[in-house]
Amino acid sequence: MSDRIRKSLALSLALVMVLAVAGMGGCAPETTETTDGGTDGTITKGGTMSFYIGEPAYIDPYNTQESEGTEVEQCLFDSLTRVDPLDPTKLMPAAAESWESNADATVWTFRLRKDAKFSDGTPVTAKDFVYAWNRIVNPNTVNTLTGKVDASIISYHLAFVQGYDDVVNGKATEMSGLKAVDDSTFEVTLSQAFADFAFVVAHPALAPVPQAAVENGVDYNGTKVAFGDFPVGNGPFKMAEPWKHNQYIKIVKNENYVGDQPYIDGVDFKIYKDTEAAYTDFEAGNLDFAPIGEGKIKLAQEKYGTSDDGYTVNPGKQVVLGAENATYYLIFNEKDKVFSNADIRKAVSMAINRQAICDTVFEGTREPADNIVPPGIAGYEKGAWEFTKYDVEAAKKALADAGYPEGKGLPTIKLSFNSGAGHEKIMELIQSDLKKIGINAVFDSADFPVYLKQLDAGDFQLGRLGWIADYPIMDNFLYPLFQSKAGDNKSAYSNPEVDKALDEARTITDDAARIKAYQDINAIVQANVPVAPLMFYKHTRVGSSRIHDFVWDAQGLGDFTKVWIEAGK
Amino acid sequence: MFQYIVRRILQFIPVFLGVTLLLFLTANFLPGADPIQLKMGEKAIDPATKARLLKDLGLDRPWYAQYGDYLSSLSPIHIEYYDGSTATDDSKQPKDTFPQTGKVALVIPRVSGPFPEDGAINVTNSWGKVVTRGASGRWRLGNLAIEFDPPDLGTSIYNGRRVTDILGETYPYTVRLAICAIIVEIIVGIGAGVISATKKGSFLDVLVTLSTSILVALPVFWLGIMLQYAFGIWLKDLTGARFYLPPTGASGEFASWVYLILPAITLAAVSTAYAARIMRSQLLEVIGQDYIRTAYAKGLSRRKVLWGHAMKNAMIPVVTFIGLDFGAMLSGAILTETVYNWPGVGYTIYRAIVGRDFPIVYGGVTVILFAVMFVNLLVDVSYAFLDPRIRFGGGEQ
Amino acid sequence: MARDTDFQNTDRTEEHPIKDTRSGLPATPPVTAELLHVAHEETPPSRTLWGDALRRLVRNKLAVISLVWILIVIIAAVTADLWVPNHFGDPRTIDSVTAAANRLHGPSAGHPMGTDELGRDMFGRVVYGARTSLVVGFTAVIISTTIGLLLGAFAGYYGRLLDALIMRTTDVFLAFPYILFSILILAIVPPEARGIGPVILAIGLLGWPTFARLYRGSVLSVKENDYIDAGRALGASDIRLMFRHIAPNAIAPVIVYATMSVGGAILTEAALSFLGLGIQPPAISWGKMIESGRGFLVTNPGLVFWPGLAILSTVLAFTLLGDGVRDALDVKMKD
Repeated sequence: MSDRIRKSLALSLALVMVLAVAGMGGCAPETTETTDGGTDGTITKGGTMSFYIGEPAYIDPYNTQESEGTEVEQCLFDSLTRVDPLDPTKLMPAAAESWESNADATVWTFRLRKDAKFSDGTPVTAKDFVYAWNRIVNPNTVNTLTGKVDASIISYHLAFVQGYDDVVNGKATEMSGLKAVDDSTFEVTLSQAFADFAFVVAHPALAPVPQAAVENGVDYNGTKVAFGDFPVGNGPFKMAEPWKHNQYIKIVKNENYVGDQPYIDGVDFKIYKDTEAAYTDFEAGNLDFAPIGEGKIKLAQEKYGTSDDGYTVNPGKQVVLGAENATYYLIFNEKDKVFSNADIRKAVSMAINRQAICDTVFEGTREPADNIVPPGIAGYEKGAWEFTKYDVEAAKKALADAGYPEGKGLPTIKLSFNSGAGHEKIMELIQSDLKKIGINAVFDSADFPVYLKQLDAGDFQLGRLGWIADYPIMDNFLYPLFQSKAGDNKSAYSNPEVDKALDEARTITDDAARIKAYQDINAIVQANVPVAPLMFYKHTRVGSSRIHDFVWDAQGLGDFTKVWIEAGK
Repeated sequence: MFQYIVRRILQFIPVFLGVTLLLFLTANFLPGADPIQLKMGEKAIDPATKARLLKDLGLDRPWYAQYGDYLSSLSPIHIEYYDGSTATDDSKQPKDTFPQTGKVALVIPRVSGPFPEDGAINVTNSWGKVVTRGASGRWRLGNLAIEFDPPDLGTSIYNGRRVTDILGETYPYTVRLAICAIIVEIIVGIGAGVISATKKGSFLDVLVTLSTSILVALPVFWLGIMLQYAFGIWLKDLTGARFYLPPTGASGEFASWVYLILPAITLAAVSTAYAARIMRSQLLEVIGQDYIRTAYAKGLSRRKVLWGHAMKNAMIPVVTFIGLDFGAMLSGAILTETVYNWPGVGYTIYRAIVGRDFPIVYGGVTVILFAVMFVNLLVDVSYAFLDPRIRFGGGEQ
Repeated sequence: MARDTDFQNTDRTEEHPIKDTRSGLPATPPVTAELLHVAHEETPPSRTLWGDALRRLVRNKLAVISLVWILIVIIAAVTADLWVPNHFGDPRTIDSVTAAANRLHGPSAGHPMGTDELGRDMFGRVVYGARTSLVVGFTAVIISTTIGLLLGAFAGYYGRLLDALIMRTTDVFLAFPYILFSILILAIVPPEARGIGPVILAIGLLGWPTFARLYRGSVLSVKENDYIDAGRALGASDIRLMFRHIAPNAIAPVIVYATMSVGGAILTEAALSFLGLGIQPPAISWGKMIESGRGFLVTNPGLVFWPGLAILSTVLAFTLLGDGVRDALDVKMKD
């Protein structure tokens, strides 16, 4: 759920539950293969890549919740599995070399790599996973940045694990479903069947952490540094120095890494306040990967060439415009007296010219949404959300049906969004589209933390969010957004029929049957119009001409293990 | 002289109290400012936890009590009375009467418990606030403890980082920019003013007068963007776009002084125009006065009269203006910093206001006020040296 | 030499545009000695003072040109509804159907300044933007002047405790980083109330201290004149003395400063809108236009250039007019 086009701060704060699909871990190629971008077909080792990010909220895995922090964290840590960067339907081994479940998919056994070590040299064992996972769920976990109790907001990833509720409610401090059978065998018991659990554990936040370093801090040049500023992980990179807030995060190769070493020596994550400045810096040759500034996509394509697959950067094919598994949508507050009326929701949804937003604000790179589920997800149906069609007459009729012909008698509504993140022009278009059917809207913008608070408190009428899949499955769009108790169901949508069907669908082990079940749920939800999907996100980033084979995947995470930098550049 | 300085410092106190009070009152009315909810993000908070957190942060008390806490936390000296009791019994503590205002307080906070011999401790003072004391030393005077602790500006509500750390990261950028801007202002402003005055009515004079008028009417942010356009886009091949980049490199260190040129020009533009105008009018005024005519009559050369006599007197208001302007620049230039993505203190405070991160706002404004006061004091002192009436008179009467 | 002493005695903040440069923002011109000077004239009141001033003003070419430009801007803004939408399309709304086709066009006969990123006519937007600027500029200055005149009159006339109280309050206001304070005030405003009103209030309420100080100083010097003592001896009331006898002779510097301040208020409004806190869409503001056009600097610099030029020319006109008014009113300077 992030708008990647502009300005990082809002992104960095977004409660994006990002799935790590970037290539980390034990599957680096055994041989150095030739690449299409290489001048003489050989990969050069060494060099440091500089990479744009906004200031992360956390890089300690216990609370990596947004794209900026996850980008760094996934370099420092390996989770049990990982998703193939170029084919999100496939899983690859990472910290676990193999895994299996029992027949009904309730007990999962992961076999860890025996020689794995954290970057400080301590071995990685199953106990580290038990500790790390309990830490995420335990509401009394101490924030390693501030030293104060600060519960993680991403504990829902582990909601399937047996004993989750007891820990969340404070009745226990450890989940009964986690078991370190021996140092290299990690067993997880689920409270309900979940055939796709191996996708869940690929999430970068579910990585092991060394307890001693978390609790006592990390030695750096003779001083103790908080783990939150200097995480010690089991990934291919390690921190070079403590996080310089609002300036940079430097990571270098981790010699203790169990998998193959990356080709590059390290990555400098340079922290910018806005993307325009980053793009300027990119053009000046000071950045290897940056977001393309507003209104400059076409220019960038002419200048730097476009990536063939939309994800891989090589010289001359540097602009990545691939689809993301993400949807930008408007949220109706169903508890609001205006938007509790479904006809008004329909009217608003149909009044918006989505194509115009894509064409003007995004230079045609984004696609108008016709479904909350983006096309990259198995089970996507074209036009499944019928009220996403731009139809001014139908919108006017719906408004009249609601009892407000031509908007007469309808109070001015508040259009809420987070400021400074490039949403204002979208909202200007929406405002003027709404005006055409007789709805007057005023802006209510605030910085992201304040804005989220308003959403959570239900202190809004019409808001916006973007949703990016944690795991590339339909469930991940329907359950979090429309289950009545889900934290990201900001519309306060509540439909017992949908709740029940969502729980049932998770237990269906047959892929086709499960997808069908989700499509049926989607059909029920769309008829109620709790949200108005607007656009499907597309990447808009560009790499420098010196980097080769850099993959920026559909989840918005980079694969830093295979990228290499041309010698002498 | 000494008296004069002391008076200036004393004058600052009511201004400081007034400004911070105004800040507190205004912030108190901000909507959506529930700091607990901000901190906790989307988590639902049960009332008991919320009450506890509010109490921990000292936010459960009326605004004037919080204001007292704030002032108190700024002072490096704390005096507390340890009653020597062995148990910390809440019932023994006096009732919350009126906020403690400042460390050298009229009412000395009373702490239940024995006198601590060494090291930092957390104590609950008589107003129920838990504070850390004695981290840097403690002197005993009977049961009175005189403790030294660095001023504490609190922590950011958003991510819990210390406000002093945040300001420590941003302030050097503001200072650098201010220094460069002031250099531009001194050279260009005084230079243009002198040329304009000594060649009154000439083409150069008209040029200076006209361009200062235009500069004064320029929107600073527009000037910044236009300079970026000129140097970053028009003259890109010439300059390599190096002129308008963000100031930090990957090392996090200040990348190059080149980055300072455009922001400094932008920030200095308006003040330079004012400096030139003041210089010009002052010099014209002085040149027209009797003693200058007398000097000419005595046969002194034009150069000698101008630099030896006229400039000396004409400079006083200009120096004062530039000095105070430097103080003003130290309080951060939101617009220039925004346009150039400059990580200075003005931009930081602005973002904190928009993001409702009040500790940064309070801390930032406090630091700004002190910086401005300090510079103003320096200006006043140098002014006092320049102006004989103050030097010999021991102050304005 | 009396001048220096006065300079010395006026409070330091008065002579310097602290609140302006502090924010990098020329919100209001500094009250320089040059300006204060007017207050120290001890010329007896003359029936023809204002008439003379007008005659001098008319002879000042720059001032006249400025006045003409201001009138053109005012007339264009007031009559915009009559001609802009007909000739250039309504710049206040977006036609989402044609937005993509019409966006970012270069200058042409139909769009003298081209179109913006959402397909709206730039010239029309610049004209409508003048409405916002002028309304903010004039009303904010009227607010500051009114408050400033009242408090300044009381402080100067009654002196003592009241004077001290008012002057210390101005100290506090002037010491506060000006633009930060306006941001803080605007942040208090609930979203449904955002728009032009709060912006005017924020600028107007923060601008009064300089007026108060200026007028106080002016009143102080006029008060010493014999004719005031004579009036008092004849039994004139305080209010009558303040408004009938002191005001006409003390108001000149305030008029000069107010004229210049209109430009300052326009600049502040533009800055606040540029930061996203001032005027909210669909209302049009020059500052906001610069902010939203910034991303198109490479391809369409006009999106930033034209609104900036509009601000510059309008503010410049008010500044030059202010200079003209100062010269016209300043008896000594005309020598």
